Amino acid sequence: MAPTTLKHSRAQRNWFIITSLVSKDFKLKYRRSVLGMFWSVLNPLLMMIVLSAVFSTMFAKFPIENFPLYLILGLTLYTLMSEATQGAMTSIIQSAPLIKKIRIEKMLFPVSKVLFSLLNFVISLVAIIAVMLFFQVAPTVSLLFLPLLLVYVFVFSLGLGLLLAALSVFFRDVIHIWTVFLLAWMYATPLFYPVEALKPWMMQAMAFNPMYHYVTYFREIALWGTTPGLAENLICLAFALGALLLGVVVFRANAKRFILFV
Amino acid sequence: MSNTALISQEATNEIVHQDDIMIKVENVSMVFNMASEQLNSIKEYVIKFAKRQLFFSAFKALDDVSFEVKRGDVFGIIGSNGSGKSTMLKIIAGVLEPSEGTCTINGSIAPLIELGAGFDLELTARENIFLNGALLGYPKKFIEENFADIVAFAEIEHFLDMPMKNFSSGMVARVAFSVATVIVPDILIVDEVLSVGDFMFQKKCENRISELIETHGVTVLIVSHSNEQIERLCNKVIWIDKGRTKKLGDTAEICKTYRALGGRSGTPKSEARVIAAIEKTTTPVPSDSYSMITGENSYETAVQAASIIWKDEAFDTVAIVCGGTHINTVLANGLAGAYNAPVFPTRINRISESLHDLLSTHKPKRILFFDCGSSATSALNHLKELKWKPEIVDFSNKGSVFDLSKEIFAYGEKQKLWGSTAVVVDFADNPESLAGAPYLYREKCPVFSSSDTDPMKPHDLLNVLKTSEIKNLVIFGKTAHHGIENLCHKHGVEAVRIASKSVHQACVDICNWQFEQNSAPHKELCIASLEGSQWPDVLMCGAYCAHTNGALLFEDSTDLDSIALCLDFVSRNKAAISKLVFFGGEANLSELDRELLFRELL
Repeated sequence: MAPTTLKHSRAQRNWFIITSLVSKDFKLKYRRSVLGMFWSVLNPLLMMIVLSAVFSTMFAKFPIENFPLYLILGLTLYTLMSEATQGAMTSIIQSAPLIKKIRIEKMLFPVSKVLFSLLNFVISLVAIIAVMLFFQVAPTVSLLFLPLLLVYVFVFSLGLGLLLAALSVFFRDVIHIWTVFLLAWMYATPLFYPVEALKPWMMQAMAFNPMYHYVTYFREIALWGTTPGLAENLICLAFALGALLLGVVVFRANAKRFILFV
Repeated sequence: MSNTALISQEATNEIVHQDDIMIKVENVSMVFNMASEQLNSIKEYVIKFAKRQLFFSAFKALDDVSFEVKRGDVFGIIGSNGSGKSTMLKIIAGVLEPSEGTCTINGSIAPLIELGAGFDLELTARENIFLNGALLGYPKKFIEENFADIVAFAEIEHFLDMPMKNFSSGMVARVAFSVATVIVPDILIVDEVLSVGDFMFQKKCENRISELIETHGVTVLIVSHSNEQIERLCNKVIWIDKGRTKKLGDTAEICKTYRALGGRSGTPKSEARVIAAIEKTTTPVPSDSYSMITGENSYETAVQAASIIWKDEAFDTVAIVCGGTHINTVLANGLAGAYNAPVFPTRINRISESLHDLLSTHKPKRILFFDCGSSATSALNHLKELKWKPEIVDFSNKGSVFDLSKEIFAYGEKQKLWGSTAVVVDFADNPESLAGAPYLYREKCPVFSSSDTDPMKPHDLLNVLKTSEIKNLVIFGKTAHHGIENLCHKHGVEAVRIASKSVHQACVDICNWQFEQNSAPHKELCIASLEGSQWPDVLMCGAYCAHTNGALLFEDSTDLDSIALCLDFVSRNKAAISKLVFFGGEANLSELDRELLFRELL
């Protein structure tokens, strides 16, 4: 066997493992539910209805046009990141029986979890389209930037997921902390309120919140119909690559010791 | 099935020769850092912290292990639990990296380690076959092509679309085995897998493994506790003990030694002694070269023993002891010896049929009943209802062991039954007291015993002895009060203690001492497992040995030191020993243990 074909077949093998793991997660998620995959559409819609009811009646109204659409865009993207990182975080611990028995590329587990969350997100795009139709928000050319955004968020979530997966093997505390952190992060990201409602210093701090950039990017292309500039793209890319680099380095450095702790 | 596909395409580029080395393990050591968990106080915590041992304490699972497995070898790894077998296997499978040394693998590995690790039981069998196949590194096309074979071998045609959580564990194992062996790997790793599933499937699995070995020349690595399986399948074996290579080489030889030594511990000297004994076992010993006294249960064993001694002889007195505690028989032996009576243990709730029959045949005039703690009232009532109305002397009390000792002593004094020696043994020295039982019986010794709850004070004992003619005292075991000897000497009573820190040594010493005391030229040596000293099996032994001029030797078959001591004892006294008699059921001492002892006589 020539080295090139060797490499190729190894990649094929890993891809088959990833697809098998993702399809397993899908089957398990929708097994025995009547509506099945439709829940991935229904869920964000229902969440949006509840949240917009709460935020538009109980709290001071923010002057936001098409508030439900504003909400669902931020919410689904944030859910993508939070589900992806949470899934990836426990993926190594959960596959302990496998890791202990079979020689297998350990990174496949977090990758498959992040991929699974991404697919769920893609399904929930149906809900977003429905809301856009309802509020008669016409899609613009800017929406073509969506795949790029998904790449950013995927890479960013994967990076975080790898980092968390590696850390949680050694310190299970990470799992508990991350749940709380995600909640805090959700409120620190302008999902339910306009960023303008914040105090000036908070606005400045927002520049360091990657999710703020991704959510804004999403709203620009889907709600406001503006094209993200080069600077914005570079910021999003930098966060994604930074997270990936950190995640991969930490994961790689510790992967060999996982078996001793899972 | 002949899928000579390559599953892990890592290292099979070169053309391989027939006698190629498939697995090469070189000086592999594995050190685990175990978080220390046994910290009982803050002080310990601080000390460990200061020594920087708090978070890491090294545990060496493997220590400098080297071996080679050649193409076509069926290589076995044996060793007791926790010896490092699984760690070795994980290193070979490539999931664990050794701390030191290298492990080179030449070819693809199919792991059968704990089957079904990749199954998700919520999924159907069909889905799991694909998932598990993927995880084992099979291409999708390969699984599709061989799907029918996998299903047929696992015999799950009708359950393909059922979630696997509804499968029995045997069915799950079948699917797992079937998926794992559908491919012909270069190296197959089998870890205790054949122990799952029903008999038929185990057979099928073994056949499949044999097929892989014979027709495809697959190299196989087997880990098992089952010596038989290793002996049947392997041509080479490594025995790992506490992380070190104990032996490496020919299967038959190593398995023989392992069977005798495996899982047992002892000093290197004892080990060498036992190994030397094993190496003598080249020819089989005829099964009638020693005798065994064993009944259906512990109580029957006693009846058996009695029927050998009192086959033709009548007895007019019998001692019946409650089998609930050994102390009853220890206290009974002196009196029983004085009356030349057999000693029978009984259950607390009834007299067994065989004992009842035996009593009915001999119709003894007197029954001595010993029951410290008064727990066997039902059995006592049973005796009271015997038709020929024997005299029943009831030594049961609710009080202390010492009180009962004194009661029995007073009874013997009144009837002038005692010999010139009294024996002291603590309740806690269970094996020692039973080992001394033949002496008690032969010399008609009163026994003074006490337990923790009401310890015997040396003065109390002396006050009792002063009232009698007894001038000698023998103390068995380390627990009895150490002031006794001094006090006795002061008051003109000769006292000797036969004891040792180790129970094994003490038992052999007591046995040896009795051999020296007894001038008879031919003695039967009774041997029982030390474990048996906890059971009624040996409660009759005192009476039996006294009649055959013998002694009772306890062997702890889990301890090499004890085995070595016993072997030495038999070898030293072979001139005096006429016969070996093993007490207790098959479970007590294994055939090999018995053979080893017997060979010392040759």
